[in-house]
Amino acid sequence: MQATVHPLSVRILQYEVPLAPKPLARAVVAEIRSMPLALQAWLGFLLAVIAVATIAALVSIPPGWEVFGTSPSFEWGLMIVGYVVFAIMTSGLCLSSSLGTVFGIERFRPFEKRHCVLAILSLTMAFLIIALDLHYPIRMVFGAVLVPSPSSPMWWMGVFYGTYLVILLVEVWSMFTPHPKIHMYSCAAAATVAIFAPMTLGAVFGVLGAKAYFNGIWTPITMVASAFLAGTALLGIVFYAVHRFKLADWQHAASIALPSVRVLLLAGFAVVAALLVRQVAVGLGSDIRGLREATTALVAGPLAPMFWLRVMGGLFIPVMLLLLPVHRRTEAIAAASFLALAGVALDRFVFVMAGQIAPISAGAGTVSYPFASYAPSMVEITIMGGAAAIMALGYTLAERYLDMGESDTHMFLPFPWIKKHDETDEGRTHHLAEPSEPKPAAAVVVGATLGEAAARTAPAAVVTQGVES
Amino acid sequence: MKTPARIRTFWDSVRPRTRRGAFLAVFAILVGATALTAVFLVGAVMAWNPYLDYTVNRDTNAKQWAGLELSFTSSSVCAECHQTEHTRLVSATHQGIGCQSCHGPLLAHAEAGAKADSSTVDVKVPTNEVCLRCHTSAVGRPDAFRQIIPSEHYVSSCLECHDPHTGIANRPPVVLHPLEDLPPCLTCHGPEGFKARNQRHPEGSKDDNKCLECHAAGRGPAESQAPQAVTP
Amino acid sequence: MSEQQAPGGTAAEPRPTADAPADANLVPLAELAPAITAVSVSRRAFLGFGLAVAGGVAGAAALASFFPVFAEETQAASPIVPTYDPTGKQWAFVVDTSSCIGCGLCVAACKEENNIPEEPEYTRTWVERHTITTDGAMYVDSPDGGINGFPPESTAPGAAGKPVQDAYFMPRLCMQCTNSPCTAVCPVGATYKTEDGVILVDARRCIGCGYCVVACPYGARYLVPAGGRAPNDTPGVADKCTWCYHRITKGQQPACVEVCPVGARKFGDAADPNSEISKVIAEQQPQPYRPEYGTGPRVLYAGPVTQES
Repeated sequence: MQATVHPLSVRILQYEVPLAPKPLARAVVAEIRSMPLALQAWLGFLLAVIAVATIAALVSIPPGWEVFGTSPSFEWGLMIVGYVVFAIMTSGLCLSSSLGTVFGIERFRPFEKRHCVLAILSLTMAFLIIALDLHYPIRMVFGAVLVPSPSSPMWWMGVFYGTYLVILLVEVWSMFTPHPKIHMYSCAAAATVAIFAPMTLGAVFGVLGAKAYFNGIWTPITMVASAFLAGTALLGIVFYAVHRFKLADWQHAASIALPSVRVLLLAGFAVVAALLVRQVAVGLGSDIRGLREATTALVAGPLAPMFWLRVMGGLFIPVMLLLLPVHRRTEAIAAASFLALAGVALDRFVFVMAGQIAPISAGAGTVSYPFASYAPSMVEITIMGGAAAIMALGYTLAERYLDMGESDTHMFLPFPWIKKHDETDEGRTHHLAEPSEPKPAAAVVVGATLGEAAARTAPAAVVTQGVES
Repeated sequence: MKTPARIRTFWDSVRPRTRRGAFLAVFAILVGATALTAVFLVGAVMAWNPYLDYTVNRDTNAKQWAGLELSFTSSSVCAECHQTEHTRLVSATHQGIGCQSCHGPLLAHAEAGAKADSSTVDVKVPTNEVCLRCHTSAVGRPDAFRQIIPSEHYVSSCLECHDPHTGIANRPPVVLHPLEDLPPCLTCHGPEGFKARNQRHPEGSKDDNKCLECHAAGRGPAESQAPQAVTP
Repeated sequence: MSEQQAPGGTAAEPRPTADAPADANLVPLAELAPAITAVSVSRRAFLGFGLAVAGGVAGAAALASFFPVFAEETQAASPIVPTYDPTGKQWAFVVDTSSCIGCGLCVAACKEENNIPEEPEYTRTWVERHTITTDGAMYVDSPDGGINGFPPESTAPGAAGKPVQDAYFMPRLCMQCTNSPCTAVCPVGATYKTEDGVILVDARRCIGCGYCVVACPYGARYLVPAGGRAPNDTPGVADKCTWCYHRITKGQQPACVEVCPVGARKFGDAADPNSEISKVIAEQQPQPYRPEYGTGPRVLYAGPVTQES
């Protein structure tokens, strides 16, 4: 049957997407049916989590913010922690992959495209979470622009992360369309902002003289280090999935990407562990009002179980996994990455908790004096799960429909160690046109659907060069 | 008018893609600015003016704060009408306490002026809680401050004995006569008796012990004096 | 199939129009381009979106320059209240912890005067009891902020049954700091200091982020909960003691000062040498509380609290 191009359709990358409702629905259904069962189950699970989280988010929309567990003595809760974690994941992704994208070190180049998509998703989720936490988010847009407050680190954080979002959009756009020069400059800009943005985020906490645990110059530095660790860990998890599910350029996942992740993780662990030891040691011996109480609460008080879980499960065990001979297994690096990311998330949680746990006054709503108390509510936890699910969903779809393999359309700043492209003939100069899994032909009558396009490329794929194993 | 040759040469040297990009950039900026202007214009029509809200000059907001309604008045205003109570107040240990400490916010009452009546007063006769709020014995109160332990102090109503404005108690008279061979107290001191109690005295009881809780008998001649009330 | 070779060797862009042949979409992927295919729609969409965002921001900034958003704060402004002249006013607040009896009338009066939510954790002022036991430990308790007075013994955990060496009451309120961290950290500039030194919150601008609440070293701020009473009729924004700005601009005392039965709280204009507050400051030499925070608190304390470390 002759397939006709439906007149009302748009071309997105190499896919023809019909816009009229019925053909669009049919195309979507055909596409879903063409997915393997595991992928359908995964997407279904994510959509279920997102649905529940959407309900939770709708409940919390102003004036519904009472569903959060915050109180006057503990105003920053899980939503702020979630924002911090997603924001530093974004920065960390660009930091760790800047070694490949900006400095052109070959072994880090596999991170190139995937980090960008992950970074945009992560930053969007961070903004979504903070919009749900703020009581009047629209006012922030106007207020921050019309009345700049340069004395406020939070204002600077907004400026930097807003700029970061624009730069990331340009970077993603220039990555999937052939604009190598724009891509090079935007990667460099993103990597630069990725250093300053988490520093401003750390400064939001660091300038608070009222909260001795937050106060000081080391908080921004710790934030950057945590960012680096979180971004690298996320890349480790993703590249394990690439290796496991044989996604684009999967051969390099196990051979190049995961060992690179291991190197970066070890560097990140070293820095984060050193900073943590410094913080605890200084805090326990300090005379600054509230600092010793907060640090004691952290290591031996109400926060102790979470803190030691973070240290054991989020630092000690992953480092062991990466140092012992077991590290040659991809599963070990993946497990270490997952534990590292969970450790960073838990670490930021106990950080935000520890800063506020030593109460300033007995009357301002403290419940369990001598420690202020806070417990995340189900709404907050659900929203966090939903944000992670949206990010996972976005990334799964991106991995499926975009070409995430390395490209050769790349230019670097003229660092001395970068060879010219035609010299690095390792088979990576041409991406694989053959998809790793044959997609079933979709039986669709009307219009060219996504499935048809994919099915047609399978037999017509041309492998232009030998592929290195 | 012919464009100068240098500009034409420059424009020709720019690639079509870059030219298109430049046009798109300018177009996008204009679209963004127009959209923002439209938002503000619509907002102005809908009486939401972000420029009033977001100007650096703060007077609008400061005026709002200064223009809030009051609930409490200044206690010195009360003396204009309530001279008696005011004199009692400033003469004794309760001096310095404003009327509103016990009677609640009185602005509405004060502003009613000549037409003020008790309907605008929240607390006409303060209950025991008002007195006990200050006078219950508690750790932290200055030693010189008069405190009682309520369970050990006769409290049915504080105002039975204490004048609220001076704070001074009419000590209940001791029994001036021996108690043997006498009928119940209420026989003489009840409403029909020849030695009736005053109006503010609490309700009598058939049980004489109740009377003796305050009017203890036989304390000795030095205390068998006339009531030690201080009349203003 | 018609293909145009654009200069620079970029990819061909088959346009998906109705009159294009159906086969136009059947070109194998590998033949279209060595790199990923560029598509006119997506590129323009990306570019336009990104630049519209940037352009919107730039446009807002450009428009803003036509309006007096950056007017100098020192412009002569119309009087807040017709009879009130803020210039030269030096409001001062002195709390005497040796006279406070912990009755909590101040807390109740503040709630009444300022339409504050009824829950006890939302309060602009509160009273603490500092109990120092014979072993040198200090216990602080503040049941419901002290609004119903205090029970006979300290309710702080661990204080029960211990012999007390010294105890006193400590009323707390916003210090209206000269170097306030709350005004510094507000990301939208919603909280500000008036000309007479009182720090207020613009409820129309506040976004409810809670940064000022966390930044206050004295715990004087809170975010107004939804529902029920709200000062300024706006829930979700930051709020704090304003020294009853609506009263002091009319020559009255703040509500807490008005109802204090023992005169532990005193308020007045220190710039006036004949005012009561000036005499109190001269006689009692009150001190700021926790000056090591460096915020320059302007509520001064006299009495046993000044002996605290």
